Amino acid sequence: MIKNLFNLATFVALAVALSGSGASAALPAGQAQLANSLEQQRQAILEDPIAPRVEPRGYDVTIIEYMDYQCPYCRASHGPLKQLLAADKKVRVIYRDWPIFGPASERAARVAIASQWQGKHAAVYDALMTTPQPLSEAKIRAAAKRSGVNWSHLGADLKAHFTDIEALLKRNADQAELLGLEGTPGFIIGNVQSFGGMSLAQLQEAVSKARHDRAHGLLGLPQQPVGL
Amino acid sequence: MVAFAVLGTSTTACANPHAQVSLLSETDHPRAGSTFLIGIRIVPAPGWHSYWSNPGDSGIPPTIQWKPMRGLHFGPLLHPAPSLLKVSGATSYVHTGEHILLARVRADATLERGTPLPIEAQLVWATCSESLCVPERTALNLNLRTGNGVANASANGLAVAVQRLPRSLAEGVFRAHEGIVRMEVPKAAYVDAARAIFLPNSNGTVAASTLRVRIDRGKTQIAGRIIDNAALRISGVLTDGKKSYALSFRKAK
Repeated sequence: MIKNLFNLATFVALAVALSGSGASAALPAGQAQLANSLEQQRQAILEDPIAPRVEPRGYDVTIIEYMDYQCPYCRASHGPLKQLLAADKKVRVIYRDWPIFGPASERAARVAIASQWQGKHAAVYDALMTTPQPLSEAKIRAAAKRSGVNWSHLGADLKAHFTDIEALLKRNADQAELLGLEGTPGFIIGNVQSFGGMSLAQLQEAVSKARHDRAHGLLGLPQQPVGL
Repeated sequence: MVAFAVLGTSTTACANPHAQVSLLSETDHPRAGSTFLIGIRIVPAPGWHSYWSNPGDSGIPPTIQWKPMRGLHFGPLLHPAPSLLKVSGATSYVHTGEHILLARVRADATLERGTPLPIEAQLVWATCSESLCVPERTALNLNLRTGNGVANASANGLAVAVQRLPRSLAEGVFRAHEGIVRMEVPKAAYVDAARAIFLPNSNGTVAASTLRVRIDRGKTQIAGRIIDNAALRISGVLTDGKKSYALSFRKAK
């Protein structure tokens, strides 16, 4: 199920909510200024101080994934996403952990986020997505170890970055709500938001559309939903 | 709302975009010292599903938390047999369409007649389409009162749901040799072998996707690949979509 919902209304809602001022009246009236302000809010989703990512040099498209390690279609999309990244070295992915399926999902998210400080996020992400469900403390730990994570080092990072990790999870959950995501997975690729799992063909199509939009100067400008 | 007006069945019908959920009891007036049935009726929206107790390769099984109440004891959630859903090579065990999860509730003999029994529960579960999974937390409640145990309008529906529960049969045996497991299905299980599937209650013992049901010299057998060679017991549900059986096999000596 693909919907183009990354629309203007969403951005206005984001602009108000993410600015923290709550002053919608303060939004610039001019179209250029509005676009500028919306671009700032878009950046709040597109960029993040600590959200784990795969970021090749010279990337030209960004995929943002809102996901839970126990969500069936996050798992189903994992293989296609991995294939896409292997074939297309100009795609950046930002993983926005949104653990909604219970304590084991939350634990997996925290462990995966913290593994980035050992440079192991990609391996841990892969291991967790392919670990049989239901996840448990023992399985999460085994997945981390299998990925080459130093477990005591990870514990130290979880402690040292506790506030940052919790703030990231909060940011991700707030964004998911603002974007109108009911569940997982959710993808933003270029200017298009998709609810639900994606096949390799769908990912490739979305990436090529994002490149097309970018080439035509559409980056940063929210696009009116197609077919609405 | 007047208190007595809410006495009865199906007081909770939660509007949810992906499923309708209601809590039912076979009686509004359970008799002290008896066991009665309550059911959670789930009607997923077209194209949506929820999960069996073992969701298979991936999925989120429902859990329920009953608010403890003096004099009432809640049994485990009982599921009808699920169906298979294959997505990107992963197989999940799901409920599509209307179904009822049942629980048996025992009312202590010490409960006085006319005691209010406000049943409250939280169902923590998930609804999924063929691409999206949504976490659900559904508050359920039903106001009962001890009495003569007389059946109400929901009783028939719950009785049908009980009939549809996998029927438990006597324990069978399994043999494992060179990574292949063979389970001898008790004779009392009548299934259409061509349609039948066996769904293990937990993962990691047998490779569910390799299991085949077949009739060998008049005997029904389930065969496939074993994962855990140290396993002493295999349990699950055998179903052909119409009849279903809860089976348990111990390792043959």
